[in-house]
Amino acid sequence: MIYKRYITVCLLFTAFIFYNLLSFASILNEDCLGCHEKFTGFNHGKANCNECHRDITSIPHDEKLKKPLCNTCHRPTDEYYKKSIHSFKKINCKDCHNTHFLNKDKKTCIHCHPNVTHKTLPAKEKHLNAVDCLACHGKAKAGNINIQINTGKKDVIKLKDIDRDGNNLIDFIEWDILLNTINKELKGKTEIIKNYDIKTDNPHIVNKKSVSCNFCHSEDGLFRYARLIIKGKKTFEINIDPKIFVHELPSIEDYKKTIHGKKGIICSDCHISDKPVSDRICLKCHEDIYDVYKKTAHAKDGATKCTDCHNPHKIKTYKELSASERVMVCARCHKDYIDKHKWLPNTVLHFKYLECSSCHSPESKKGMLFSLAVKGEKDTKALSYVDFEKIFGSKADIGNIIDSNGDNTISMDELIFFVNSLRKKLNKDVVVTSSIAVTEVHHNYSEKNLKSKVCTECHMTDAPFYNYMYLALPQKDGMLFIPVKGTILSAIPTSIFIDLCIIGETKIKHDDIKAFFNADFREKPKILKELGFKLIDFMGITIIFFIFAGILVHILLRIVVKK
Amino acid sequence: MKGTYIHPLPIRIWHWINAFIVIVLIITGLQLRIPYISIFENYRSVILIHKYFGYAMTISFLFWFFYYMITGGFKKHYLLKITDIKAIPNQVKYYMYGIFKGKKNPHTPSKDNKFNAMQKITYATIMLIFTPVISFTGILFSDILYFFTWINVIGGLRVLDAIHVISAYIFVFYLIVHLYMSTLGKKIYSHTKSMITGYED
Repeated sequence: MIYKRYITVCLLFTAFIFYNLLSFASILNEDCLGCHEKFTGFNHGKANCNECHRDITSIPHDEKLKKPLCNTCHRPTDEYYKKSIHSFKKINCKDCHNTHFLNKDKKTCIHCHPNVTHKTLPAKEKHLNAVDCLACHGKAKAGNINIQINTGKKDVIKLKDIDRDGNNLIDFIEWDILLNTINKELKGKTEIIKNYDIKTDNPHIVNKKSVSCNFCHSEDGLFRYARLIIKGKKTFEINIDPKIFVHELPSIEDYKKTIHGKKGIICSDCHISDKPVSDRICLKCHEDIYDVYKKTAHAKDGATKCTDCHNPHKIKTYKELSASERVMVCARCHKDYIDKHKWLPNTVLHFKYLECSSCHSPESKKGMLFSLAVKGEKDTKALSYVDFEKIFGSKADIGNIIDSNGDNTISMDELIFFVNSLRKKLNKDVVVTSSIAVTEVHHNYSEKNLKSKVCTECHMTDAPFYNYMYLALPQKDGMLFIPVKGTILSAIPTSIFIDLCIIGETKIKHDDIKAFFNADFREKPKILKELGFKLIDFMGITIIFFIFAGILVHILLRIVVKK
Repeated sequence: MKGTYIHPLPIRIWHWINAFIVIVLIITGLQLRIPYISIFENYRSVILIHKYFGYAMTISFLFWFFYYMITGGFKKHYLLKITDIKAIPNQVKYYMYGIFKGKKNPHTPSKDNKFNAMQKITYATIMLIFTPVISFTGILFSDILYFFTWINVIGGLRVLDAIHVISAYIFVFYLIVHLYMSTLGKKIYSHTKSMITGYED
């Protein structure tokens, strides 16, 4: 019985397939084109006439035929399209697509929207040239930037010259150096071609309202990836920071996280008219700073306004900016800062760890900031609050965890223990990074021509920042700065503290030697351990002393025995 | 001229040029290490002098190395032979005791074997280990960013600095002893004179 039923089902299924095949294939395209000559050479993929005009079963056909429905085949696209503004406005597929000749008369946005003013779009021409309509009005999901520089047959740009720190990424400073080289070597004879490549999810989703500026111009904006291609004698490529080309802009949400936003300052407190915010607005609260600033070269004749350097919409306070980010503030005007500092040995290296004001504002207080980061293959990424939250939970006080003996200072042992425990928990290579930063800003930056002897201000055992060393820890809102014990630098293992060496910290001081000899006998090993790299000097000087003593004895013996 | 001819002219010239370079490097290095000692007024010029004299030392080393490579002096003067090793206790005894009594130096320098065993060990260590090490680490210091990957392989700047400074201390130890021992010839100036004229009394 079951066997018979199985055969019946099979027969019925075969009959169904045949019926379908016959019904589609029954009308040949040539037969249709016999009358409908104007569609000769039509093209809609590989579809036959009958596949869309399904109600034609024989020729000649009925005069009144149903209109073919696109969504019979293009169902997913139709689903997308239903969400689009065009669908609400009752615009059909055929209004844009020529259904018989797909590539003919294909309408782009400009056919219906020829004169869009984009009145509110800042830098209109730049934006409209760089990206197409769908970038803002469609649903973009990823963006890449390709920057191409043709240097002709010359070989003026070399990879090692532009990626000075070898981290395989061109950052703001390195890009600036590159632009300088291009201007100097090629004298503007080359063009920098910028190509903003945006991948949209489906071109059929189109919104009238464009995405907000922050969709691209924010910290986690659309353009995550940028590539620099240099075409010269040899062509090479390297990653480049996309923020150089699509910079960050403020948003209301972000503003609330800024120090101004947190203190309850609202937009209209500063933006009292549509004119740019003037210094007078700032000095309502920051009068004491302005008193210093107004006497300096920057403020002369109103040359530089507060907002030329400060961005009140930035989430990061000045304190939280890294040295190289702070350099970029000055570099907005002082673009030739690298060339001007060619006298300074290891120029680029200095700017990696130093900000301009550490020399040009002598009255500012300098300190050394340490932070925790994960060392990757190519670059080192600072640990964020989220990383700490994942490990310790949101309620844990990280400051207390590190400072295990509660003396509000981090010693070498505490830091090593903490870094090692982080390494175990994260299973990553956690390291301590550092930079020299101004901890208390004095707004007089008029100091110039500091070439003479300035090196020894920092490269000394008693450089000012050794007295102000802090570990910066990211908190939910802002940063926590915990003082670090001064002896840390000479003894911390190189495996966790890699990048900073300003020589001063590994040179022995008179005080160190005095402390060693005055210390209790039991304390001596501990002092020796804390001396770390200073032991080199300690041993060196001791051996020289013994050599001289030996020679003196030898000379004496020569004289005495001869007699 | 009296005595044995042991120092050929190119080596004599090299010795004094190298001596000058090393002394300049030690003086500038001292100020770099201890900025309180103000030998030159401008710290930056000290860096530059140290850097260019460092390059000069590298070139001077290469000259010395290839001179001995070509003339085959390494085998003659620097290779430690079994007889040399056996002679060490006698040599030590001479410096520690015999010399006071006015005894004769157990080693007589000749054109084909100018150094005693202890000199061979010392000079070979200084010239074949510490000179290349200090030159190489110094070159890495000359453009830190350019050699960034190399420096990281070594273990970072502090390790590089440590290697450079330890080698520098060894140069200083060596120089002090070398200068003193140059007075241990037949007369106080004998060795120095032979490094100028080429003839050892």
